[in-house]
Amino acid sequence: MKQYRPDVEFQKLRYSMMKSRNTLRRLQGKSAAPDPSRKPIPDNSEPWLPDGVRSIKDALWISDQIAKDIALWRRKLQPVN
Amino acid sequence: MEKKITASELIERFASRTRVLVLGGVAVISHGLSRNTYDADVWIDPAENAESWARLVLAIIAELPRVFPTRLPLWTPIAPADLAEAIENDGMIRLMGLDRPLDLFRRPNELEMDEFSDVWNRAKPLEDGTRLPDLIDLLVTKQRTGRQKDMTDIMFLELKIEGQYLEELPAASDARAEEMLRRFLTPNVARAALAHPSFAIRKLGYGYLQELAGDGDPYAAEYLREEPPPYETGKKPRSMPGIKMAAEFSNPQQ
Repeated sequence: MKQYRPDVEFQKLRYSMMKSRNTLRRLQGKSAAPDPSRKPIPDNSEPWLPDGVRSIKDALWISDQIAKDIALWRRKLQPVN
Repeated sequence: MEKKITASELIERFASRTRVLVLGGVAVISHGLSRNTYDADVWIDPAENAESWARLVLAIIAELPRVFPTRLPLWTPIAPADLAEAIENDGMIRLMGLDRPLDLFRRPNELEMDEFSDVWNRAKPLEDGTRLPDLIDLLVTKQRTGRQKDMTDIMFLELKIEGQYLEELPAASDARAEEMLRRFLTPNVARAALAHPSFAIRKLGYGYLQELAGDGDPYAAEYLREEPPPYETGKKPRSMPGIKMAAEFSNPQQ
């Protein structure tokens, strides 16, 4: 059986982005760790389907809903002259 | 007038005749990522050879005059007599004439045809007769494609698996922990193995961290700078504060 390992180049990219963020925060005088005094926002996301995906049809339905939402928001975000 | 058949209906027809595994965006959505997909991808049982695979595909689409197979790179139509040669060379074909393109794989990315049964046995059965590959098998098919959208899928799948591993690994039996490590390895997972009660697993995890660092993984190199070599048998493994961070990213929907 093959062992999955993350792509090293992608790991380097993620690591360098993390280091850059930490450096920027340090320069701004902020800590890299989350501020303990801030109240965490609860996760209020809901599943698309109450019982999860039970068939390919369900998964494609979710995909179509997202595609419709994206199209709708693109129309709404068009600049008005 | 003939009603246009949908990709999901056609997949169900395939599933009633042979083993079908769901791949691509449909599979990632099924595992809980909220995204859309342009097409549907399935891995049809590779069968004995390309000829018998092509015969089955042709028999199923013969009932559907609007549906026709096409091939890479420009999705040019394939004559029925050339289907076996196309699938032998390309490993996949695309069916057009449905509500969306349907990609049929005989040899998917990064998986061998002789791995089909193992992937099938690990997969979750769906109500339409198809099966959904487990997270790790699906993740393997997303490697080395060079496509931006696959990077998002990889991040989602990796973090979800990592979250499950970080929960299970420290308390898993030796055999289970070894099996887990031999299948999926990230620096966080290797580091979590250092909290296992068994010296053998801690040693394995430490060895993996060294391997990852040797391959150039910067996280593994950083962990090695922080971690002492594994403790000898009988001594208490150190706890791993902060290692749960990755688990918090896993999608709450599933």
